[in-house]
Amino acid sequence: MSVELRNITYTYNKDEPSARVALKNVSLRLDDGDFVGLIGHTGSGKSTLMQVLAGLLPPNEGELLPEGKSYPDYKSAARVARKSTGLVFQYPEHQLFEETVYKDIAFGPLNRGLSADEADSRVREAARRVGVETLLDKSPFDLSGGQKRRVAIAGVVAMKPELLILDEPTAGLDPEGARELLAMLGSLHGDWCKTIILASHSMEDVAKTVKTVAVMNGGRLVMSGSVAEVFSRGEELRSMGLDTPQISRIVDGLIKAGLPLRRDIFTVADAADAIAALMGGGKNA
Amino acid sequence: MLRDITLGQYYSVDSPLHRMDPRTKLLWVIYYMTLLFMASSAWEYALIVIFTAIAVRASRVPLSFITRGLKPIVILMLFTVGLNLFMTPTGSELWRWGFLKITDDGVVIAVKMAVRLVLLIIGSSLLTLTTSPIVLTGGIERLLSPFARLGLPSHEIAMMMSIALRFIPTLMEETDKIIKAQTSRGADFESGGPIKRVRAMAPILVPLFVGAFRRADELAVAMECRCYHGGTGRTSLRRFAFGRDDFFALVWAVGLLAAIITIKVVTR
Ligand SMILES: Nc1ncnc2c1ncn2[C@@H]1O[C@H](COP(=O)(O)OP(=O)(O)OP(=O)(O)O)[C@@H](O)[C@H]1O
Ligand SMILES: [Mg+2]
Repeated sequence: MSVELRNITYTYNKDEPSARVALKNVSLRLDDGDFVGLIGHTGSGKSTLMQVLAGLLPPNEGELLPEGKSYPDYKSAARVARKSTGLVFQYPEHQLFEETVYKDIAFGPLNRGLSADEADSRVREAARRVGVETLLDKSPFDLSGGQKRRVAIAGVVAMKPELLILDEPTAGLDPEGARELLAMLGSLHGDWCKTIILASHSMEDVAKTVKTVAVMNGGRLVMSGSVAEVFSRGEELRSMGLDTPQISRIVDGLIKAGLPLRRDIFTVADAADAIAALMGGGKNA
Repeated sequence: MLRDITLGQYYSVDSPLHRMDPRTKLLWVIYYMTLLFMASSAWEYALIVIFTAIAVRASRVPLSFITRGLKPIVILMLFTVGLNLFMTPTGSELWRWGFLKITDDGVVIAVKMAVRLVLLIIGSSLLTLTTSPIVLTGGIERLLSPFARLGLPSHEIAMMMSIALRFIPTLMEETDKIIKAQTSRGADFESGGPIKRVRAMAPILVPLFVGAFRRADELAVAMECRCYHGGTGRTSLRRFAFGRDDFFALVWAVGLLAAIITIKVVTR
C-alpha cells in the first residue's frame, strides 16, 4: 500500500509545561514495494512517526493519506490506514496476553473478520515464516525473550498487512537472533507484505536489509535515498550522532591507505567480495 | 484519552502553593475537607467556592487543566446527584413520574452534593498538582512519624505511596501503548454490548498486569542490590521548613474558620 504523510507536526502534552515537539513538518511517501530503514538518534521522533503512519496517533497538523488518497476527515483516513497496516511496537513481547501462542497469533486475523479456517491457515503460515511453528501450543509467558519477540511479530504478520511497520525489531536480541529476524523480514517483503518500514539503531542491520534509508534528526526528516546515497554522507550522519556501518568505515580506511576499492560498500559480504577480487581471487561464497 | 486523567498528576510551575511546605498543604487539605462537610448554608458554600477559586488562582495551574481532571468522575457525580434528586422523600413535590419524584428538598440536597463533590476533587487535586510526589510522600512520612512509636510503619507507608505514585505515569504510558498495539491488531474496544466490551479488556489488562508484576519484581531486586533495608537510621535529602507561604496559609485557615463561624452565628 502506498501511504503518504504531508507536513505532519506532532507535539506531546500540547498546552502543558512538559510539551515536547516530536515531529516538525515531516513529509514522507511510501510506495508499493518499498523497503525503508528509518534511522535517527534517540528521541529524534522515529516511534512517533511510525504511529502516525499507522493511523494510531492523530497529528496536530498535516495530513495522512493512506493509499495515496485524501480523505474528508482524519477518522476515516485513520480507519483505512489501520486496516492495511501492521505495527510492531518496540518490545512487542510486552503485549502478549493469550493462553497459547496459537491463540495470540490468531487474535489479529480473527479481529479482521477471517473465518476460523482462514485464520488457522494464516496462523500456521505466519508461525512457519517467523520460525515459531513448534511453539504454537505453549503459553507465551513460558518462552524466552527472543521467542516471545518472534511470537509477537508473528501476531502482526498473520494479519498479512500490506504495510508492515517495525519499531526497532532487533533491540535486545543476540546477533544471531537479529540476523535471522532481518533475513525473515527480507523474505516477507514482496510476497507477504508489499511495503516494509523498520526503525533501527544499527547501521549494519539497515545496510544489509533495506533498500532505501530515511534519516530523522530532532523531529525532522533530514535525508532519504538509497542505502548508498545516505551512507556516502558519513560526515553529516556523524554530526547527527549517527554513523555509517562499521565495514564502510574500514573500507574508507583502506581507500585512504591507497587500495582501489569502491566507496559504496556497506555490508561485510560485499567488502569481502571486493577485497577478494582485488587480491586476484574469485567471488568468495 | 488516558492523558485526560490529571488526578494525582504534578503540574510543574512556581507559585506560592508550590513553595509551601508539604505538611502545611496536607493538613490544609484535611482541614478543608472538614470545613466542607461542616458547611450547611448556601453562604458557607459560596465562601468556600470563593476561597477555592483564590487558591486555584494562586496555584497558577490553568483552570482547564483542573477541570479536565473532573471528567472521569462525571459519571460518579451524575449518579450521586441523580440518586439525591429522585430519592429524597421529604419536602414538597415538584414533579412526579411513576415512582420517581422530585421534591424541593431533593433539589437542594442534589445541588449541595454536586458542589461538595466538585470542591472536594478540586481541593485534593490542588495538593497533588502543586506538590511533586517525592515531596508529598516525604511530607506524609514526617506527619506520620509521631505514630511510629506506636508501631505504625510510617517510613514503609510513605515508601509504598511514593512507589505507587511514581508508577502511575509509567503505567498510563504502558496502557496507552498496549491499547495502540492491540488496536493495530484490529482489537475493537468501543462497540458491542457490555459483555463483549469487558471481554475486549483482556488484551489490555493481561499485558498490563504482567508488566506491572515484572516491574515490581525488578524494582525489588534493584532496591535490595542497593542495600535498602527500611526506614531505621535513614536520613533524608530534603529538609522541610515552614516559611512565609506557610504562615500565610495559617492566616487563611484562621480567617476562613472565623468567617464560617460568623456566618453560622449570624444566620442562625
Ligand atoms: N508518550 C510521550 N509523552 C511525552 N513525550 C514523548 C512521549 N513519547 C515520546 N516523547 C518525546 O518525543 C520525542 C520523540 O520521541 P520518539 O519516541 O518518537 O523518539 P525515537 O526516535 O523513537 O527514540 P528512540 O530511538 O529512543 O526510540 C522525544 O523527545 C520524546 O521525549
Ligand atoms: Mg523509539
